[in-house]
Amino acid sequence: MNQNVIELNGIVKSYGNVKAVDGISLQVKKGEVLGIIGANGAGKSTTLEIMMGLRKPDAGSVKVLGKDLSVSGDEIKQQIGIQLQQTALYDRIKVKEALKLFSSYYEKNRDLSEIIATLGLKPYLNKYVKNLSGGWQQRTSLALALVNDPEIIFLDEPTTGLDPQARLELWACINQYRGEGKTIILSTHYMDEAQRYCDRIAIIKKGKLVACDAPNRLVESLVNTQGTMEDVYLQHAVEM
Amino acid sequence: MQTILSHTKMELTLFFRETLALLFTFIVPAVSFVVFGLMFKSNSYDGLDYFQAYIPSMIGIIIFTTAFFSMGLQVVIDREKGVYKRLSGTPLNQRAIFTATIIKGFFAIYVGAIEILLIAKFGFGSELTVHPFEFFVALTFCSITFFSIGFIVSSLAKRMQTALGIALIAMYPMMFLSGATLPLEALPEVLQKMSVFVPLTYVVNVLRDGWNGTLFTSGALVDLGVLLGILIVSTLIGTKFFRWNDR
Repeated sequence: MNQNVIELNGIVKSYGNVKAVDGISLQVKKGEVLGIIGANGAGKSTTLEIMMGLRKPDAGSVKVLGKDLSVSGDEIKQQIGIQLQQTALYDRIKVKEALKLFSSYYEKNRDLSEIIATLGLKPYLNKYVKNLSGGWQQRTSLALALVNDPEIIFLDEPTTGLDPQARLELWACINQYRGEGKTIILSTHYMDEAQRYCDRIAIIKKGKLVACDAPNRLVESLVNTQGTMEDVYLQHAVEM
Repeated sequence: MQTILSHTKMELTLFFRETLALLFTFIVPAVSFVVFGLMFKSNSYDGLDYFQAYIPSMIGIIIFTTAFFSMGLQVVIDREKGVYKRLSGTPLNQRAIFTATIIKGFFAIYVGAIEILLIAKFGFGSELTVHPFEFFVALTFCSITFFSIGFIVSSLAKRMQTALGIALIAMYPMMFLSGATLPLEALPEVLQKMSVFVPLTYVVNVLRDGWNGTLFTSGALVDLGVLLGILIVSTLIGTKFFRWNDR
């Protein structure tokens, strides 16, 4: 439980003159659920995408599962699963086809029928992903993130845009994989989710990590002891 | 290798589900070939009969539509949707995606070409070329050249609407100022002069050379040279500006 599966060391990433990530250092332990919160444009997605290996940092180092991401990226991608904000799939691909296609990319595969059953995708297997509701598209994305039975699962705003029931159902699925000891790193705008489901919460503001601790400790650290996670957000993540 | 095969298989499956791609690759050239054939099959064009001239021409149109719509435009659509970004989070590398896209292009062109040949043979009772190897070489070379232009489209256009606009604007000169549909000698002089700036003109000429057995003669050198130049310049531009991801 104490083994670090992710180690970010002083990562910096700029887009033109905009510094999206400005010297973030962070460690994530095996089996941990880490939530990343922050305002729009704070650098949450860029930080996640650097950990996923989708973007190269301009400076700093990233170790995933003990290996340098810049050196062993291909090897690391075999052991991680990712879900992006957008469903990001071909327009005319069916759920079943997407699952089979993504499975074919990996050396190790989890039993697809088990993933389908867990996520309740069976009635939708022959439907085009783009024709599904937001909640089922997100479930399909989550299923694709699981096809290789990953050690680490990255979820970029997995519940954004979903109705409360769909959010609860998706979290029930995520929690099942958490129960297997998977490390889960996610970004979210929902403070109730962050507080209820995350072991630790990292708060990013203007590309910098301004706080990172267990939700209850972050709440306790407020001047107002009756505060909530939303107060934590307002104190740390928002420009007042 | 298995990864490339499964990805290519999916690209082909998706290609056959794209109405626009099927329309431009298999319907428009075939229907044009039949309609023109019914009207003009007894005409001759610069010493060639209708089939010697228009089998290569229609296949030239297939090369253009495949390169611009099924490849250039489709890559922009997939990139805009974030498909390549998502794939970059898997062990599938960009070389595999590129290979699958090229194989899809060749598949579309070869199947489209076979369709035209079958219509010519069984619809009109036309003789086919006695130089199949030369025609195959010409077809493959012209395809590669236009693939490189297709990648310029996907390099320069960031949004689907831009790529579609480029493809549609290019379609008119490619179709009507290249000799692919209207004989160049039937055009006004000013339009004939403009045809030298239309890349498909050289594709039509090279395909006709391949079809009629004059590909490896000095008469084909200029057309081959122009296409080779286009291929080199397009590849350089594409290599410099092409991006799998938005930023």
